[in-house]
Amino acid sequence: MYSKKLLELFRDPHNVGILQSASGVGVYEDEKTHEIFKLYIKIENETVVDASFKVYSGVAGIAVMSVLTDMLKNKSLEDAKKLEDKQLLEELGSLEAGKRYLLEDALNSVKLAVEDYEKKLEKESKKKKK
Amino acid sequence: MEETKKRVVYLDTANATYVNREVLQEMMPTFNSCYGNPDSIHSVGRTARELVEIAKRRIAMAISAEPREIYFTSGVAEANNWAILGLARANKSKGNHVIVSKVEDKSILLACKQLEKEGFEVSYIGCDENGVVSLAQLMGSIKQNTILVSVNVANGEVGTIQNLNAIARTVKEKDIIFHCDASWALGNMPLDVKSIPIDAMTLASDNIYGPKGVAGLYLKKSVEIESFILGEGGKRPDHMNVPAVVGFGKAVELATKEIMVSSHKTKLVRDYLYKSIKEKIENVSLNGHQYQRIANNLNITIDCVDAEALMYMLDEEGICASVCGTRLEPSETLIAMKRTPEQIYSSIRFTVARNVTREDVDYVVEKMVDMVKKLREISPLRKSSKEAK
Repeated sequence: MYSKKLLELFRDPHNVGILQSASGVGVYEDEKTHEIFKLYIKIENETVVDASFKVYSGVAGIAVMSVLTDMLKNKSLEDAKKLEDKQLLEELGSLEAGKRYLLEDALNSVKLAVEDYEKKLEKESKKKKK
Repeated sequence: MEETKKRVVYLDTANATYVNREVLQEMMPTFNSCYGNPDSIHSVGRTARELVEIAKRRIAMAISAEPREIYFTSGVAEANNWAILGLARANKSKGNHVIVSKVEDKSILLACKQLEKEGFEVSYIGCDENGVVSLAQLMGSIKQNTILVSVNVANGEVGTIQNLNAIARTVKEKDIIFHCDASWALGNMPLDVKSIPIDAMTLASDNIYGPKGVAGLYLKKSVEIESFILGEGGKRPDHMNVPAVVGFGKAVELATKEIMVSSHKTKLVRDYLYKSIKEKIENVSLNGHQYQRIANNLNITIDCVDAEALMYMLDEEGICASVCGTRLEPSETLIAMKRTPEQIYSSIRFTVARNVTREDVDYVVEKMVDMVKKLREISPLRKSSKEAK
């Protein structure tokens, strides 16, 4: 059974959709459950200024990504990288033990989005050097 | 101020049904006037025994069995567990090989895992993409030491009806015990243990408008079974749940009496539901056999839509449907039918209750259109026009 807060987030999730001006995109697929977490982040001056998501997951997965994208906004890139599952859980209120793997899955999408951003930066700087 | 009653459309009879009014009426006296233990020899006990015998006669008549061949259990899981474990253990001296299909109820598959721990060998036979169990594979799996075969009459998840007659005859030709789980078939199609050689058959109550907490096992009188519950009083000891048994008997009588009319009526509503969904929502496909299926079952895959999320959205509008399996424990049936993971997690089951009307279906589909649109917008599997560019 899901908490009232989680169900509210599922009913009306924040930050759904594509972020056209995204600086980095991370797509994480859970190999075991085949849930897919797609995170878009926009970074300016080493700070996440915007975030959005798409997700192929159930009620809890949608709520987790909604909370995650809210938390990412206005976080420095370094702090975003350091986000932990317990912080997500705290913000979410509660999540049954059997669904907590979703927190880790969601955080993996952050890792991949940041990696994507950093790769793009590297590419650009190489281009400039040439 | 009177609160407005929320509309409920019940499309989950595979999990439970309401109790029919006539069934409830038969059950009522057993709570306070005919409350005896049917094993007691005094008058109150004898009255209860007579009610149990009536229930046995009703169930026996519905499947062409003898009343003494009907046993009551606490539910389908116990009946299936008992059949698999009890029949295999009692016949171990003849062999230790058991065959079941991969599209059986969990209570059968888990009982088989238990048998494997006890030294039995179990062969799990597959099915085609419609969920029809392979007769060829079954025939090829039979060995000298095969003692038991169990195949469902109809699959509870996707509704596919198996080729019961051919399977039963193939098995019996080799003098092997044949059990079938008829939990989802009873009340949806005629069952006859006289014309089809069946040794044991599981019968459910709570999806034929009977009470919960009871189920039945038909057991041919010549077949040996080991008791599953240890205690005083026959093959299935313990104090009988007389109210539930009485209700079960009445529910079977009603379900089989009006079977052709009620199943045809249900089928029309079910078909209308599928047709309406297909008309209004794109990329929807059927799971299970198109024609060889029980009347109330509609299991569909809605591409790119997480079925659990859809089920919760439907629930918020009073629409009760179900999803078979979870992300961590996906449906064994859909896996056996070679569905992809995306298809499995996008599959939802509707099992139509008798009181569902075409107007209810219109309401369901109208709500579903918006829900599917919303979930597809969230899904990364669905490429939007912006992304496609």
